[in-house]
Amino acid sequence: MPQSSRTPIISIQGLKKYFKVYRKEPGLWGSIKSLWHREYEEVKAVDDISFDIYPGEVVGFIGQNGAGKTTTLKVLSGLLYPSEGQVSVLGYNPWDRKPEFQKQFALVMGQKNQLWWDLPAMETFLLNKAIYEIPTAQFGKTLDKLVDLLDVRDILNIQVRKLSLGQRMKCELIAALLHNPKVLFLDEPTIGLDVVMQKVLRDFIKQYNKEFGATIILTSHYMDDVKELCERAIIIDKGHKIFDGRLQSIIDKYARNKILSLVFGEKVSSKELAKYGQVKELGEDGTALTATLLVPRKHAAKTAAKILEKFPVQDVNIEEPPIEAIIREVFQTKNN
Amino acid sequence: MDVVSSQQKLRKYGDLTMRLGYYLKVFGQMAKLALATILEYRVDAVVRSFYMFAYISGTLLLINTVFTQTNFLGGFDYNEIMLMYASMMVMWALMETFFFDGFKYFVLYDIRNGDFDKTLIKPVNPLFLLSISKFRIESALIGVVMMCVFLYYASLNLSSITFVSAVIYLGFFILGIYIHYRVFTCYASLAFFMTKASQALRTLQSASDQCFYPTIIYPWPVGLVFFTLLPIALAAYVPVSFLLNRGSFLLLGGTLLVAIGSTLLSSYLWKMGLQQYSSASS
Repeated sequence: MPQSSRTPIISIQGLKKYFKVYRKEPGLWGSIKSLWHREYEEVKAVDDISFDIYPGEVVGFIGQNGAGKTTTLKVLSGLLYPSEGQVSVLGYNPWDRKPEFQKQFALVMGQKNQLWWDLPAMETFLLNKAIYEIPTAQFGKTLDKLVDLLDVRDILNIQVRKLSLGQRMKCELIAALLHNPKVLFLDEPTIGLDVVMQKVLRDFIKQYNKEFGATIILTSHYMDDVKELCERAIIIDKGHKIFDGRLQSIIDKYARNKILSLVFGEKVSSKELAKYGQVKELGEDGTALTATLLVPRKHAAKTAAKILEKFPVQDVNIEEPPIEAIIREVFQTKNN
Repeated sequence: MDVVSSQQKLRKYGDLTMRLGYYLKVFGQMAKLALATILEYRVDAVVRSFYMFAYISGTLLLINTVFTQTNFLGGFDYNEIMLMYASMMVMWALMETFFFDGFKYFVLYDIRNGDFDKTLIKPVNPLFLLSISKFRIESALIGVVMMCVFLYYASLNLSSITFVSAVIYLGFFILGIYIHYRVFTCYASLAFFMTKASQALRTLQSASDQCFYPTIIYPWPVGLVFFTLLPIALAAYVPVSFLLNRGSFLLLGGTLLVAIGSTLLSSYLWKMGLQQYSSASS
């Protein structure tokens, strides 16, 4: 269904969130001076951001540290009052903090936890059951499903402080999802996890979105998270939105080159190869020689054909550059 | 029309009962978790109880020393002062058991670390949730012991106590707890605006050591502070004065004024604080 014909589940218009901070001169004199004179300045954490998100979408929120991602999520979940702008989540004004609204969303922050540290995770689940007024039958059913999906049945009765980071994160997710939220804000849910655990959580989030139709906004510094989970990405930089669209269109718009990976039957001159593109790597791999070339996107196919004609090529592969590199390119372009 | 309005009243009453049931359920669950946590650290609980009993013994020694020099303090004899002390300690134990630590952690850590986030997103009154987030079940033990002490000294003062004065005492005792909760809320709300709000809470707690004596023995500005800014007098002097049939309209009016004032001020400060809350960077 085209997005325009649907009602957005999250709508932000002209959102601004400014914080007042004071600058202190370094040293003791600066501290003494700050007793009677403080210079305040306004930090624009989020500066005029607008977007709509539709039911069931999984949107990646990308940006460097301090870009305003977490602040936006905190405004959306009602933790912060905006300085300006209109925000609607599930038809509610988030900072009214109505229980009917709070029962329909969850916020998971990778660097903070809600589990009771000294007790098994199950105890926190039971507390959330009481707080979110989850009927016993529904609680049992949802818990069973989530426990199976995340494979944590063995650790439910072990004190949280004795769990590994990955196990804790799985339990955090369960605690946040027990009330079947329609909207899920995930703030760096895979931070600090090893690659295997990152993959497990990604698969779970994907499955959860599919099964429950939940709308998900995800921030992450790991581009694999965004690539695997999100069709749409919103890039923000210094509080401004600089891109909003399909992940593929970031590649189309900002990736100027494609990567040509080549395997040759015999040694080739790097000087000769450089005529066709920027040689990134040249090395020996077993008996064959390998090379990686950056070639202009538009001419990638033609260039590959020419190289095939000219050199003893055994294997060729044309790839898009890694999304990380493209995003870096986006930020560099904007900053220049 | 009457049927509709009585139905509305019933629904409202039903809603209220349901909300009360809900809050009791959350309260019960939190109490269970707190008890389980304490049981994880049994030695800590025993040491803390020992420390509190030692502290109470010190205060009792002080009262006894004072009464070696005089027979009356502000018009109250030893047994009556002990009644006041026990009354204050029962109230203190109740507050300590149920909400003092919640406020303390909120002021010391939750605001500065942004941990208040996890409370604020829950579909329950955040003030309620934070205030009951740390139970100290071992303080309940002190409460039980001091209740026995209170009953003992009440039995020694039976000639001054009537059924009506006992009921009024109970009313003032509950009102005292309510006012304290509100005053704690005011002090805790300061954490939204300043980083050293914990000092204010500590002052409130340490001031309580001096306030079980009749307010009348202090110079009037100090008495006024104990009645308003640090309303400890409301925990001991006022209820026990009414219990012993020595209450006055001034005390009654003053208490009600402090109750209204603390309700309005705490609601205002808390609301302003929530608007001011800026969480913490991740």
